[in-house]
Amino acid sequence: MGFQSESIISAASQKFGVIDYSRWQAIRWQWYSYVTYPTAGVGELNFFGQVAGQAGVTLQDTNLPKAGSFGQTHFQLKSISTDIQLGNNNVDGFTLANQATLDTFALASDFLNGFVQAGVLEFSVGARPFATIPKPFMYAPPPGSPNDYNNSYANQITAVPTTGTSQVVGLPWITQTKLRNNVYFVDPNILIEAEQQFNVKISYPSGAIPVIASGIVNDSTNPLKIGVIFDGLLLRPVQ
Amino acid sequence: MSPEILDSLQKRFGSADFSRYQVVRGQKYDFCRLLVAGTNSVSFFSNPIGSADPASTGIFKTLEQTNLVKNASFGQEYFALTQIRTYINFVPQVRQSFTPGSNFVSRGYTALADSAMERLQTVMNTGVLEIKFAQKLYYQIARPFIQCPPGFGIDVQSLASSRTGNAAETQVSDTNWLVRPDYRAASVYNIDPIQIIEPEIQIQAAINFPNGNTPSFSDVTLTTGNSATNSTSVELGLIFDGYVIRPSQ
Repeated sequence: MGFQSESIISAASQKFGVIDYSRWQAIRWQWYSYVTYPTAGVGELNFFGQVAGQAGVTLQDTNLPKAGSFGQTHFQLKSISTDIQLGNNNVDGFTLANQATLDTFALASDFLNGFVQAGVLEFSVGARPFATIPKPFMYAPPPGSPNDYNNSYANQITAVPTTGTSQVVGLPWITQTKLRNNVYFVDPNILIEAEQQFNVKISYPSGAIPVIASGIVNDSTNPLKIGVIFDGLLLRPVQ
Repeated sequence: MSPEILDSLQKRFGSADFSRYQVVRGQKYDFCRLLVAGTNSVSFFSNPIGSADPASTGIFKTLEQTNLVKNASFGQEYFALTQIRTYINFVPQVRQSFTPGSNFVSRGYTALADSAMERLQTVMNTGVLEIKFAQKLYYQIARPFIQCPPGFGIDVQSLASSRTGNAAETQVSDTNWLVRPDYRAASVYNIDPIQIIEPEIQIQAAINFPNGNTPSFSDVTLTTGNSATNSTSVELGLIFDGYVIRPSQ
């Protein structure tokens, strides 16, 4: 038997409340959180720790209603994804003038030999670990398709190569995988209750890995954003 | 009498509820460096987090390399094995013992004879994976990097290519290439029926190379521009994908 006040609140809620807690609706939903990957590299990056509206954080960075939790909604987690986004991935610096530092003008460098090939993602609810994913940018690729880059292979820098210098005749384009099946499915699903505190981080305990493509990535004007996306079902009471 | 007392105390004051179990998707993984001089065997799950990598004594394992907390066992958890994945690649540039150059990507992995990529391909096409639980053989898989690919990776739409004006160089020497195991999740080696690994069961896992040692990476060429040869670090990995079965809290 509950306290009398509980009964009163319940009765009042049913008569005058704006929410009907006896009926719930489920909708597909994605919670996402993007942070800047510093060009100097970093030992650890935390996600879902900020909300839109904080300094420098917009709805494009995160849609979390409350730092570290989903607020007043339950969430049934079905998949975990990572994402890598660069606002301007222009490669016009991939020229003869930059012959000695071409690596720094293509994000492909980081996919082949940089931070994409390392790291570990940890996801815990409360203090209990629920996922530890090695090489998360490869093991847990994004659910949607990254841009499809191509080039014409017409980037021959000079018509007649100078003896002893190499000539670039094609640009490197590399992204995360685009296959829907490659997404990291959480099976069985995990239900994260309302207001439950959780933590997601990507770390490099074996040593920070600087961005190789520092010729196009700039922390202030063209930051490299990396994100974690939780895909699943949002469960909320009917109104 | 004491078991009953312990049971009663545990139910009242214990931090875990052993009458209810929770199933979570999880991985047990171990990435080891390949001995640069060549080897006939690489063992996995034998060195827990914090220990030195046997092939590179100055490198200590962190959570990036393994989540094993105990030598040769998964500790106090049940693990249901559903997939076996392997991994092979060069370690990231900044973690190599040398600097491969600032125009590495533009030149790519050279197709020069006996280059680093060619030797990596040799390793990919050889080996036998053997896994034992409690000293009993459960899996013996030839060419594991082909049969048990990682099922993850990157999407290479185009590699940079280059050529030089040096007349002495042929076209072949300036061709770049990249070899890697299958990155499609649908290609992984599935275990059906699933294999339960009980707590504290001893695990022995190794990729052996019975046809001879792996090629040496101590003096190899990575790129066309790498006129100097280097000691190149290669990382092999073994990943058990499946379900962690643990008591509720």
